Amino acid sequence: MSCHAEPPTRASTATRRIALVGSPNAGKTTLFNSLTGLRAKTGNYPGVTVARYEGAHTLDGGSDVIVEDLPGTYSLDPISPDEQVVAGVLETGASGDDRIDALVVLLDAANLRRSLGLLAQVQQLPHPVTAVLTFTDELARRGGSLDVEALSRAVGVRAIPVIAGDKRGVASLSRAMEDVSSWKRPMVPPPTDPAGVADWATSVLETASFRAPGSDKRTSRIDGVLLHPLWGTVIFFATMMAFFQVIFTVAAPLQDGIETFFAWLGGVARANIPIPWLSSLVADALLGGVGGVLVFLPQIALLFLLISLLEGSGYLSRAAFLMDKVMGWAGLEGRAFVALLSSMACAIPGIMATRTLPSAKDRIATMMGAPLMTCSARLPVYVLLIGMLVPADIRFGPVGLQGAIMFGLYLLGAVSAMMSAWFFKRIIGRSGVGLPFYMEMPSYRLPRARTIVVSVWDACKSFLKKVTSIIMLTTIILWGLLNFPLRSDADLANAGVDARDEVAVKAYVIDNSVAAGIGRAVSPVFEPLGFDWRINVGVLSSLAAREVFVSTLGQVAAAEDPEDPVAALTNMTHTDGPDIGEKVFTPSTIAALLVFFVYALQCMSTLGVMRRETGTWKWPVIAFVYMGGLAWVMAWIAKLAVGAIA
Amino acid sequence: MRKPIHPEAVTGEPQAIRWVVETNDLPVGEVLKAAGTLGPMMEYGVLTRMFVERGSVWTWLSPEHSWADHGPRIRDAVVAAVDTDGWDITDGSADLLRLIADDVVHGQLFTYITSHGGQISVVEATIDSVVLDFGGACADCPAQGRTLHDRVEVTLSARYPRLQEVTKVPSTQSVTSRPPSPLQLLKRR
Repeated sequence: MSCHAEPPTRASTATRRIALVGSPNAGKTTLFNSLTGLRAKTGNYPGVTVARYEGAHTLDGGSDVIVEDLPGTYSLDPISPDEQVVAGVLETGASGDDRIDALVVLLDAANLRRSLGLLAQVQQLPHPVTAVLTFTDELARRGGSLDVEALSRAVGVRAIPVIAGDKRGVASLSRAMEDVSSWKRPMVPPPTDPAGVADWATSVLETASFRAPGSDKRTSRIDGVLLHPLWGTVIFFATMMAFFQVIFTVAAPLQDGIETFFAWLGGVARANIPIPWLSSLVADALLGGVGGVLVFLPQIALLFLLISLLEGSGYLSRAAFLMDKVMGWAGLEGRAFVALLSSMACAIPGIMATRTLPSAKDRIATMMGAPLMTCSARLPVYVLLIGMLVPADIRFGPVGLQGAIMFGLYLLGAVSAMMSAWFFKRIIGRSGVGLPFYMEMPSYRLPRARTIVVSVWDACKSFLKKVTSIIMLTTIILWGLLNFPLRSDADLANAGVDARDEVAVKAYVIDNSVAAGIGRAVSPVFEPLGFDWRINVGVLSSLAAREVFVSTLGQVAAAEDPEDPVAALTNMTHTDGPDIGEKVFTPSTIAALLVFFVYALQCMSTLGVMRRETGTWKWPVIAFVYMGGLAWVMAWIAKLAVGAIA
Repeated sequence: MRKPIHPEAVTGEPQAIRWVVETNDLPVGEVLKAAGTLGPMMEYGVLTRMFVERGSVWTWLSPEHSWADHGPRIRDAVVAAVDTDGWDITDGSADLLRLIADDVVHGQLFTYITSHGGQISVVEATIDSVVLDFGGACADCPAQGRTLHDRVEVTLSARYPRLQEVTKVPSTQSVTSRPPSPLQLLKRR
């Protein structure tokens, strides 16, 4: 019986042959198909009617390796003809006339102990071995867990998770296949006697923190729902929706309290500081501007309280697990996802987390996306603008419109970040390096109170630090720009302003200040978006830190109507240009502003870190320019869209 | 005499193996005299150095031998010896604490640490304290600085009970601390 499907010359060529070893149902055929595509050849092993599958797999460099799918076997102590074939092939180190260069052992994560028995046997052979871990998704879904890195260290060979032939896993296996001679080998092979193998497997499983599927009944029951592709996703979105509802409804009363307090303090300052310029600096800049940002402390605290609750209870890992699949479809690495997730708090740790990406191209692509994730600095801007855009009492059942819009903005940021990372990956070029990615899946538990308190406290502390340093500094500079040049009574008389009417004087001074000049100078750029010079100044000043936008508007509003700055802001009108006399904050302009803040990279610290991490100003400049351009275009579209409805 | 055991390689120490095995109530420190058949192996220089930590035995094989040949024999000897009297072990060891700390930050907790955007390295170790450099983002990230520190400390003292304190060197890179002044950024170049 002639069994060789390929020409006999094959044996003499240098094409390497790698055999897949694994138990039946360990996902061997799926992996084989993803490696070889539709180029598999079928034949028989010499002398037996056992089907033999082999096919070529093209490596990144363009050369081929032959992948042979050995029949499924539970051990190398043969019982069936299939197993005899495997045992024979491994014993002689050759399949027919073809020498085998390396072995890939499939470990079924859901039946890991049994799979380790096979691995222990294979590791007695002289061949280089790499383990492929399959069904890690099923393990997680059924409430089990496993530390892949620890497993890899314990068995002494590399373990690559490949879930149902997914792109990332196969790519990293393919990469490993390029150089089988460098595969890690165990320093001491596992024992050979069955009792010794059992002890070895016990020790390895314990080190790898292996929790068998279904061993934690409660966790596995909950995970059955939460990790379900449909229900899990529905619950994830519902949770996020509730999250943003809480940020508006719960924090609002506290926020009002702080607002009233600062308004009162401003009144006290105005009444008791005799020097006019000092009174204005304290009341308008410090209390109206910086205080205007401090108002958002409850929201910041609440955001971090909710994040640490989600993290501490174990839910955040599940959410990440669900989202990781989405990233996988976009061809992005799991590690890139973690970097994006970190950017939810602040883009800086997110950008630093890209250090874990082995490929410089992937790092840059991820960095180009990370600043689009909604960082906590955007929160005050969003809360302020959404509060002006829609009243708090518009609700659809339990869902308030304000929270829904906030959720939409976070979603827009996340989707844009991923699309941008994907886009940059396309244009910079694919790296082909797909490292296995492992995410801890802890059991559900009650979050520890101390961890939560510390995390919220740290967040508040760093917010307060930011408010009292860069935000205060910028606000004071802006106060200067808004109040100079000083006007004499003669100037005022010339302009027809009654010098005794303090509010009118203030309005005149601000409207003719240095800042107004700057704001007007850039107005051709922002006019299509409906921004007036005050918004322009706010947008420009927010380059220092996004929150300064809030303090700038707060300052202007406090100067125009010290009694009720919020009303002053809402009723602010254009002082020049074609829309003179019209309200500045129309729904379409607010929408444009919101979308502008989703995209614009108004954060010097982020640019600085990007420069340090890439070693060149090129990437920060590209990021700044592309995000600025995108922000303008998207804001313009938002303005048109909302203008059409409203 | 059965006991779960497996070997792990030690990064940067090609002749060393850390045997992961239950060490009962053996002291944690450097081995001066080993029990069972490990004793003669040390005396005759087959094993050049040994440490015991909670849950592992560290062994260095003399360079003229290979683990592939001696591994199985030494594995059996370790399993037998941890249940035997006759050990002489120092009470703590700065070298051992350093080895464990390196293993924790580059091995055991590596994925956890990097998934938090951090890069921790061991600066120095004494007999009961470790100084770590929390590079990367952890130092300034408002959400997770403390949790990471706690987790490293808990993991370390589970393996090295004499540990008194884990401290971190202050962050020297001012750019990582948020928020840097824009003026400072302009000055930089």
